[in-house]
Amino acid sequence: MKPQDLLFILIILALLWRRDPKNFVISGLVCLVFAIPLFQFWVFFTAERLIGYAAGFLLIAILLTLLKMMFKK
Amino acid sequence: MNINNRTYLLSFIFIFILSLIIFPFIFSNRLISGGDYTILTSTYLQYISHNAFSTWIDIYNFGQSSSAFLNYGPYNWLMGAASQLLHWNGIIIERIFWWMPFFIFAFISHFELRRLVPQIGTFGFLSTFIFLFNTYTLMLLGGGQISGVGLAYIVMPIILVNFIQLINHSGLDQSENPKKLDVLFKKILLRKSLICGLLFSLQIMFDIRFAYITLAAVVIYSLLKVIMKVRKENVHLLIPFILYTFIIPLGVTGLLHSFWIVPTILFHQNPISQLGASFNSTQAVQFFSFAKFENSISLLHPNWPQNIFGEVSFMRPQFLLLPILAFSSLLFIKGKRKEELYIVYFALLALIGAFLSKGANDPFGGIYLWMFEHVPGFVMFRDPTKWYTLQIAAYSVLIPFTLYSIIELAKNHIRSSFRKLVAPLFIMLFVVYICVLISPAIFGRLTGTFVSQSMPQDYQKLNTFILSHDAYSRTLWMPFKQKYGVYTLTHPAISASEYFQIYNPKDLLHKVASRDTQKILQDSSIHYIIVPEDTEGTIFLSDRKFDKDLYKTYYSSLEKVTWLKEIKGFGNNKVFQVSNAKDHFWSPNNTIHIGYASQQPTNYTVFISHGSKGQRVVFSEAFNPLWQARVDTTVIHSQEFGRGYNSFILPKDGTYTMEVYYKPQEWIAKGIMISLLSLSLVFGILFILKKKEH
Repeated sequence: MKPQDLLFILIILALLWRRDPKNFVISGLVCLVFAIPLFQFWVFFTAERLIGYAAGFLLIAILLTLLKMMFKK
Repeated sequence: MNINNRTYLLSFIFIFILSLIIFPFIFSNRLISGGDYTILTSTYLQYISHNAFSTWIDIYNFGQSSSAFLNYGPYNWLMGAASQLLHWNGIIIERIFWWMPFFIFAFISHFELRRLVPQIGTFGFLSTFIFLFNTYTLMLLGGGQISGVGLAYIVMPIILVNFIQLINHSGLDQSENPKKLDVLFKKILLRKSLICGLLFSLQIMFDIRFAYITLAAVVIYSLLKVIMKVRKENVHLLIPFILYTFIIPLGVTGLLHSFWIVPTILFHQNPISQLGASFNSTQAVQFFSFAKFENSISLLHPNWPQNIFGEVSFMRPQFLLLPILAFSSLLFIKGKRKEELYIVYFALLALIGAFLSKGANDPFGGIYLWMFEHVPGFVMFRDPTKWYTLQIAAYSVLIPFTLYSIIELAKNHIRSSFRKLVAPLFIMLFVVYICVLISPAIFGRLTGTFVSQSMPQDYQKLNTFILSHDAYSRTLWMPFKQKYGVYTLTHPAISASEYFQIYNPKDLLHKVASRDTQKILQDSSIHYIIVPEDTEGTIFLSDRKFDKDLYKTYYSSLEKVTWLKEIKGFGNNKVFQVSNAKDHFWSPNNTIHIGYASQQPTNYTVFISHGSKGQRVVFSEAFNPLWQARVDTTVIHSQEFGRGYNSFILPKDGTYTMEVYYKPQEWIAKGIMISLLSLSLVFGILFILKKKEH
């Protein structure tokens, strides 16, 4: 496991404490935005990692949103 | 919110003009060709008009069972019938049956998606825009895959939306099923269920793999709906839900496709195992996993724009704005409207599509390999890029929704005099962005079908020469068959590399030139060996580039083979005759005289003269135990002979006829009857239901 992965897990845990799906969406979008210049300047390793993190954040956002919709009913 | 009608109309005119720029060949009067595109020559159209439902296909290699691939048979038959009855040539047929339906379905899909998320209003035309002008669609069309794959791909949103609406009306939500409308409700549900079955059958006809992808998307939505709606008190509603959502539509599909499903199941045909390890091994999946996660999530086809097999280009970061726009839609969900479930669903679909499209690549590529080996039907996806379909369908809803939401937000902060300009401005910016992404298509830099090509004169001469021989003969193409080379029932074409399973040029030439090979070729009814002119630079490759020296090596090596005689007159197509090549039916015993007649690849009448009991008649098609022969009432089973041919032992002495047939073909007529009756029944029920509703 790389240090970036640990940071990713820590951020997830911090965001899960708030349990707001929008925070996860914003985190995912930020990862995608930061990946753009990294790909442009061929910093592939970190850029590819950011794509994976973005997908992780977005998946959690979707699952939390679904949970919220479920319990709202 | 609606943008005004003028903007809506202008948008569609723009899509039409962009189509004219990117696909000018559709509006030309030449046969389209390129990549895997099936060139609709008159010979091919004649072949499919008579053999659309043949369970044995013999125009490639030594033939193979095709019952599991007959799903496209009805469409092939329609094209063949249109060509024979209406005297339409291939130029008209390909446009009427492939290209026009493709664009019509693309336009219809946006209406369907609008029904689902009405807030996007006339932004829905962007769905068509995204569906038509993304790199996956362009690579698909450039690669010549419009005929089955392209049509199955483009109808996916229409079928998905119909299934979603069926699921929404299936009664899981009790408030949608008040008791006093019970009977009428069930009739509407049955009608929707039957329509979904018909649409799903249509997609299966075009391509089973995309139907599987659509079904996966439907299952995901069903699971979401079940998780959201089912409680202890309404769990009994699961039964009608499963009945109307899955059992009836899939049952209808099964009945309509009986003509190929019945023989496939009855005769235990496994199409994937027939295709071999290059299709059903995990090594093949790993090889074909060209897209990385950053490609798949940003809808960037890994081979964009050169479309050279195996050549993957670097990630283009400008494509990352697409997932940013798509997933931003999640920020605009307030949890107040029921349509917002669709946004969450499509966002999930997009992520799943992106994950699967990268195949065996990181992260967690092992999951795809596990699914390939263990999930039923997943073995069809050696090429993971087909899963891009899920994302494209998802982005075509999410992106218009994001733009609509941004515009609504922006309007609240803008002066009223400028509000009318906001929507057109945003749409224009997005359209310009997409045009920048696909600029190689706009500036004519794509290859394959996008490049104007016509059959070279030398190929026309070669095809005429081959077709001028009435007797049966095969042609062996070194190392692979070229797309312009003719192949018919009596003149099948074989790729030497596939035939000998040797892909190294030096080894292949050594094999072909050896003395033993002469007998193999003679016994295989191969009359000509052809070193083709590589008009597109895709056959004689060194390091993925056309190598003229490699082509010359093939030619000069065959020139030195003493038992081959060169026939000149075909330009850079080098043709060598194999002397004393045998016929389609022959015998190791010289005393027998054999004649035969056939109208179809699955049935031959063989005339035996001076035959003796126990003598062998060889039928040089790939051995398959389902080939049988009948003399009077005696059935003779095929025995494998030589290099994998069929053979039949004569049951008696004398002069008589022997019928040689492929057994599964007997079930095609019965299957077609079931399919036609089922179709009539479905339409009859729909008609009655419609009348009763009124």
